[in-house]
Amino acid sequence: MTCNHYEKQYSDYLDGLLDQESGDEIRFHLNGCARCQTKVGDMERSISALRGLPTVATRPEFDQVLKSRLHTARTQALYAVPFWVSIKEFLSEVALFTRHRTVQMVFTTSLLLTIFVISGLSSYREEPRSANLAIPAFIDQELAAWDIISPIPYESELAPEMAISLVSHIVPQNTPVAILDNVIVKYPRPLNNNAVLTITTMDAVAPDAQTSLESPLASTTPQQRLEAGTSANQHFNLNMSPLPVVNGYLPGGMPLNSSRIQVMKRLTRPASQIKRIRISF
Amino acid sequence: MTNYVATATAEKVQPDVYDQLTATDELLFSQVQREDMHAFDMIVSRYKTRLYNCVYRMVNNAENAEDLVQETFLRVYKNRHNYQATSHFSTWIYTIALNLARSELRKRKRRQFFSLNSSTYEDSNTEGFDLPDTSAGPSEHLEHSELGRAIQKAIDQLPIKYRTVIILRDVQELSYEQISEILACPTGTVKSRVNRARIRLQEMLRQWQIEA
Repeated sequence: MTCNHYEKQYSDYLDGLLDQESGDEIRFHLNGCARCQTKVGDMERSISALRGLPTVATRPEFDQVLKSRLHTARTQALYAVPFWVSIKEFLSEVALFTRHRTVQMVFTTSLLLTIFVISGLSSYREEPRSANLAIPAFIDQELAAWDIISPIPYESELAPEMAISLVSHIVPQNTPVAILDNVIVKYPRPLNNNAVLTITTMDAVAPDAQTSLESPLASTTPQQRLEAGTSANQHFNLNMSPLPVVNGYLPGGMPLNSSRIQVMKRLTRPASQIKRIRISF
Repeated sequence: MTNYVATATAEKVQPDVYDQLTATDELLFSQVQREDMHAFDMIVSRYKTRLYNCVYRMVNNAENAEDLVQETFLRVYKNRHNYQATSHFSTWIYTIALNLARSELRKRKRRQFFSLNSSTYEDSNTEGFDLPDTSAGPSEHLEHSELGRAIQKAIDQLPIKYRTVIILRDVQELSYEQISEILACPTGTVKSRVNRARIRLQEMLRQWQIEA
C-alpha cells in the first residue's frame, strides 16, 4: 500500500470514523512513515486551529435592522394584490377602453389588414415562366406537322388561333438534371385525327465536356399520343428527365463522384431549353 | 383580526414552547407558521451567531455576512409556509444561508473578472494577475491573531465547494450526515471533499508557517 492510499483516510482517521482494523492499519503505516506522520500531525493542528477560531458576533444593531426589514416585508405582503386580481382589473380596464368607437375602428381595421396580409402571403405562388410559341399561320394542320423552333419571334408572328402555349416547369437553379414536366400545350381546336406530340430538348452539354462525359444531358424526345377529338387544352406530364442518376453511376458505367457532379452542375442550363415541339399526324 | 387570531392560537399551545432550552426548532417554527413573531425572534436568536459565523467565514466580509444572514431570515420568514417538517429546520436554514453566500461569491468572482478585464495593460503588468483584495476593513478587527488571519486567508483560497464543507465540518462542527443533508449530496462525497479540503488547507498553513 502506498502513502496515497492512506492519505485518503487521514481525515476519517482523525475524526475517529474508521473501524478498528483500518485504524490499526493506518497507525502501523504512520509508525513507519515519517512523511505521513508529519502530514497527519499538520492536519490535526490545522483542524484544531479551525475549531479554535474565535466566534464572531454580529453588530448590536443587527436585530433592529432585521426587525425593520421584516416589518417592511410583512407590510408589503399585507398590501400585495394577488396576481389574479390584478389580471382581472387589467381586463376590465381593457373592456372599458374598447367601448370607444375610435378604438373599435382602429382594432377592426388592423384586424382586417392583418388577415389580408396573411392570406396574401399564404396564397402566394411563384408564377411559372411561360413562353408563348406561335405556329406560323400558313402551315396547314392537315398537311404538315407543327414544327416550332424555340425561341421564335414573338407577338408579330403570333397567330392567336393557332397558338401552342408552353408552360415550362420551373427547375431550381444548379440542379444537375433538367426535368421538364407540367407542359401545357394549347391548340386551337379539337384534333380531327390522332397525333403524336414530340418535345425535343436542347443538348445541354458543352463541347468541352463531351470528352469526359458521355453526353449525359443529350436530348431526348419523349412522345405523347394525342387522341382525336381531345380538347384543345392538354396538360402533359412528360417527365423529360434525360439522366437517371441512380446508384451513383452515370449511363455508360461511369462512376459518379462529387467532382463530376460539379461539372454537370456547371453545364446544366435552365429547363426551358426546348428545342422543338412537334405535333405530327 | 389577524392579530387577534394569532394571539388566540398562541395562548392555546403548550406552555413550554417558549422554553429556550426544551423547545425544538421545528416546534418553534410551527409557531412562526401560525404568525407568532415571538417564536421567530427566538429562532433568530438561536441561529444568528451560528449562521453569521458560517457566512462570515465563507465570504470574509463582516458587512456582507450580516446582510446575507438578514436576507436568510427574511427568506425563512417569507417562505415559512413552504417549510415541511419532514426535514430538520437547521438543514433548511443552513441551505438557504449557504446558497446566498455561494451566489454572493460567484457575483464577486464575476465582478473581479470584469474589473481585471477593464484594467489597463500597465496596471495588470506590474503585479501579474493579483486579484484585488475584496475583504473589507471590518474583517480586520475580527481577526486578532496572526494565525486566525492566516487561516481565513487559506479558507479564501479554497474553491467554493471545499470551503463550504470545511466550514461546516471544522468551524461549525456539524456531523457528516447533517452536511450531506444540507448540501444534498452523499455522505461519501462530503467525506472525500472534507479530506481534500483539509489536505489543501494544511499545505497552505504549512507554507504560511515556513514563511513566518
